Amino acid sequence: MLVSRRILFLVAVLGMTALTGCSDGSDDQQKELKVCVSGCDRTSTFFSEFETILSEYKREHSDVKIDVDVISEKTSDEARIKQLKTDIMSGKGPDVFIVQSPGLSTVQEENQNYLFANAGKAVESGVFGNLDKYIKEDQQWETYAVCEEALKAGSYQEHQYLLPLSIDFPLLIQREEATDFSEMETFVQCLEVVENGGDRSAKSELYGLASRSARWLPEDALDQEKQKILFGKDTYLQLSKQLSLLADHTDAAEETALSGPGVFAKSTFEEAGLDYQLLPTMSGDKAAFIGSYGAVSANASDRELGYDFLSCFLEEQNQTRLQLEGYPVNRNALLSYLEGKEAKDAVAACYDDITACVFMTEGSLTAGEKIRAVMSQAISGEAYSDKDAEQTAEEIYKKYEMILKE
Amino acid sequence: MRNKKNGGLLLAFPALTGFSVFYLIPFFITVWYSFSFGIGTREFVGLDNYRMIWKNDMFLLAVRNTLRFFVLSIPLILVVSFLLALLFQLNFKGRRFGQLSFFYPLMIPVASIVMVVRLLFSKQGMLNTIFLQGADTDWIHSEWAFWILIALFLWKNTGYHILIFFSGLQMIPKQYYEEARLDGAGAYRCFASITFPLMKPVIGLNFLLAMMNGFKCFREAFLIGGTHPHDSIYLLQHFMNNNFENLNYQRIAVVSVLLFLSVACVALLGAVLVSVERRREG
Repeated sequence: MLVSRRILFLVAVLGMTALTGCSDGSDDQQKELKVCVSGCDRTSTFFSEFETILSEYKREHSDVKIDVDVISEKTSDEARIKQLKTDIMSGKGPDVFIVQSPGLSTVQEENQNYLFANAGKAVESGVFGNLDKYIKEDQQWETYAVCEEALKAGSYQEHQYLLPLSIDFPLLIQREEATDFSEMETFVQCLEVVENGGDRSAKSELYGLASRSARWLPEDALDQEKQKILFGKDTYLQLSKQLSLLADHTDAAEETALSGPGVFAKSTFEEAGLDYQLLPTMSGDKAAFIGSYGAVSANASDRELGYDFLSCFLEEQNQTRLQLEGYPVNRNALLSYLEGKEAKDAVAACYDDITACVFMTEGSLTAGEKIRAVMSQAISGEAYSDKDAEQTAEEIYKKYEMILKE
Repeated sequence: MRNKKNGGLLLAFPALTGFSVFYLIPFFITVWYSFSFGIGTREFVGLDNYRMIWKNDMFLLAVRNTLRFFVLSIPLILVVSFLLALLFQLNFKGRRFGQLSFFYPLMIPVASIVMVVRLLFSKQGMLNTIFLQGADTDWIHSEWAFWILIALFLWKNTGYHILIFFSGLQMIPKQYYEEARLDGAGAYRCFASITFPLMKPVIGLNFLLAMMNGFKCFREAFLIGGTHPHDSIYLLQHFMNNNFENLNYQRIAVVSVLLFLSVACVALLGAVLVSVERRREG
């Protein structure tokens, strides 16, 4: 008797426990979306603007619950990044990623960790979902006016996996009477022209562009799909030699660059009488880097919802508001933001001139580092030998080669 | 009798559970991952991942370098530490200091050691500036990097192996040597007929430990040259680490399975050799 009572009691307890898992069903209606914002921290302007867009999205989609996780990619976040990578690989990661490209955050640290050090490789690994179907069904798609080349960069085997949100290109903004680079075919030629000419301002600006980061020298160095490195060591050899000459003759402290691309700011384009020129790369392309991009996880619980959320960042008003690294990828947004026909026409021409778009890799960052080292060596007055140049070119090429072959 | 058997199983149960949960099941998951593609929901792709990896130049380079590192460093460390252990058995002046000088590197953190290596071998390092009168060879980013890594491995781990060999030598009864000497055996004869045969299990143990320490040497290689060091010190762990960075789980899984198979082959070979030896002894 006692035993059967005990069994009854046990069954009752188990039943009660099981029932506590049931709800009235109202939660079932709510969709959930886990978003990971990578490459910035919660105090950044980008994140505060992101939050504004997020709250608007939430207002319009009250049935969607959105959890946001921010990964700053600083050294202190190393453990979190590793954990997140493990989660992603085991299929438990976020549904949507919004990523600022490596090397574009304001504070660079040694041995910085990236969630996606090489976006192309992550696509190859099957991390992101194919967005073709949702783009095709999206009636708003045409209004986003996304730069074709940037879109191409985010595709793999002719399927779209990544949505570019901003692009960055070496737009030289100088006074109209300054040196004309429109006929120049490569970046090295531009450097030669200022080296031989007497335009100190152009010299200083080119120096500024080159010294800040490799992103000002967009180079379609890696073709992941064709497994090719698209430049020779000689190009870098020429570049490092030429840059060392430029740095040698430029008093960087004396002349500061008038303006350069960076965070997309209206004030940059307000001054009248300015000339806008899109500089060619080392191999002669008019190329841009992807500044930031978005993607939906291959394992997202609701890929369509993920795309829907992501696509709102391509809308004209959000593109100008977002203060993304570089320029908006939405052409209309870029133009509607600018005032004055002169600036609009000039920037639109540069934008249409873009012939290639690439993702930043560790290779580009190494190239930037090495180039800066060459220039600081020249500034400090140390002799820059041919052997140094060869070594720099060799190291950069080697890095690209290893990344590609891996 | 049956109860005794069950009792043994019961006692082994916690260990077996731990082994299954933390090793066996993850291993089978890894094997599945090596035959599939995707994140979360995976698609069976047969041997595709294996085929791809054999075409990967960096994987082949990593295999070559890792094998080269093991083939050179393990026999070298075993011979050097064995000889030093034999030396430290003798009574001579400065023996204690000699022993301690080999154990100190074990206590120094890897990061500090690597800092010293950079201080010595970088382009502006002491080797160039002081000893080679302003030469500008970047030793760390040249073929020499491999030999620096070997030297680092030897310097860091020799003391550890000396300790094990030394304790093994201490366990050989002294009377064996005394009796052999009475029979007219010289030093070489004593070594060949007493020391070496009795030290075989210790050599086997040291071989295994050296292999494990060899795999740990990745830390040094990584701190010296980063994620993409000079070709000569690009090891299998670099390949795995960099593929982890690129979230390529299938590739890491393939390398893990191949690594397991290689270690299993070595272990099997060891087991066969031991059984042959036992049969020969009677």
